[in-house]
Amino acid sequence: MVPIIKIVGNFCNLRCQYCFYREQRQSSPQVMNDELLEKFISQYMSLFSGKLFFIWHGGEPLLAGLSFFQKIIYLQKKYLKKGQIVKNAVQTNATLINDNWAKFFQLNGFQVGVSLDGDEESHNRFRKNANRKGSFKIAVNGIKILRQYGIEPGIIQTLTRANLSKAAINFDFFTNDLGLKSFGVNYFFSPNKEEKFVKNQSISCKELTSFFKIYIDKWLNLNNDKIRIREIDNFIAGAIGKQSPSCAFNGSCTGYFCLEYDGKVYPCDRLPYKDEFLFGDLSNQSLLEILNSSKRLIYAQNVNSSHLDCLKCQWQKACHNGCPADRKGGVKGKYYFCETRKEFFSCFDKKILNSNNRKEVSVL
Amino acid sequence: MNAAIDGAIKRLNNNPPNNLTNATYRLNDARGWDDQWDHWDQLGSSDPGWGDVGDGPDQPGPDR
Repeated sequence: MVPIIKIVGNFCNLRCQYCFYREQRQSSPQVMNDELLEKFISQYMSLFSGKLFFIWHGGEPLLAGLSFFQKIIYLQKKYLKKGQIVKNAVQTNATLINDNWAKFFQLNGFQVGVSLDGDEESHNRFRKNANRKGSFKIAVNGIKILRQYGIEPGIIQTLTRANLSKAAINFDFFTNDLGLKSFGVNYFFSPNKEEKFVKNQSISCKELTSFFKIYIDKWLNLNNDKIRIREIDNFIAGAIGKQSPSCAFNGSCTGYFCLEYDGKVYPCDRLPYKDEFLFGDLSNQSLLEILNSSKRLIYAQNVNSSHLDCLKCQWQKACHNGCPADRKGGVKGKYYFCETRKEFFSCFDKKILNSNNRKEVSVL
Repeated sequence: MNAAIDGAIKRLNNNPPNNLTNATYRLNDARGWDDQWDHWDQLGSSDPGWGDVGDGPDQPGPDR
């Protein structure tokens, strides 16, 4: 199992208006205490063998400070058993990256994911600091520093109505101006409730389909085997009958769990913090007890049970009804962007993979 | 043949099966993370050891 550890809870130095933590407190300095961190690392490394993977998340996890991360490495080495290999990843807004951080990540082999919404206008539309100042320049500077230390970050772009119309521009920005080799797209939408902080930015299925048509066409035109766009790789996986690499496609989300800074354990940071999703509390329970809790097992059964529409869908094994957090009406509902996925599984299946001359193919 | 598609197919062919799909196991039945790990390895350096620098996390980021 893979832990997503929110070491500072929702604490963040940015106030991105679309952030799904926006309704919760983001300005309270909070960090996981030493005792809990050691309890978690020791128990996790005792329960699992082989290759262990830690995902350090936030809020903005770098607010925990470099000494906290040094403690992580110290504890991982302290509890390392024979045959175990540890890998760490961190997801950051890159605004706090400096030489010390980059050197630390390089030295300890961290994978670094950075959130960047596109060019300056696209990024600064919502990704602002507490003074409402855009964070684009400082985030891009963070990426530059990482690269100086040989770290090529993976980029996550958040798609809203505001940057929807700039698909072509942002694709060129990512691949040409920034020279990215790998990026993924998250979608802003609210299938189950009204957004308080951002109005009229939720994208529809139709809009997402139009967006990916542009991305896919430009990606094909690049004709470059080294450029990886997470969603496109997943569409192609579905089309050719391979297992999709991402949790939101391959139904592996019950292989993850999310540990909050205060010890509470949930299925994933993407789901709302409702009692029904609270597996337990590491501050007064063991990790084994929490992961074997009846709540977790019920959750796993619920998210893995097929929606009726999926039973007759030819792409069921390519999609697994999407991310449980993105289903209409809750985790037992139907994936909000179902039709978009169907279109691109079919598109790659019929128009591209069966084409005699793939260079000529366009999805537009 | 389009190199972009070929690249994607090569990446996918190198992915080992993910045994966590539809997992409803109790922990003592878990099959560990070894298979999924290999997917991460092929995104970055495949040298074994104390981690390695590679791609960013292939999972939803915090700022969706």
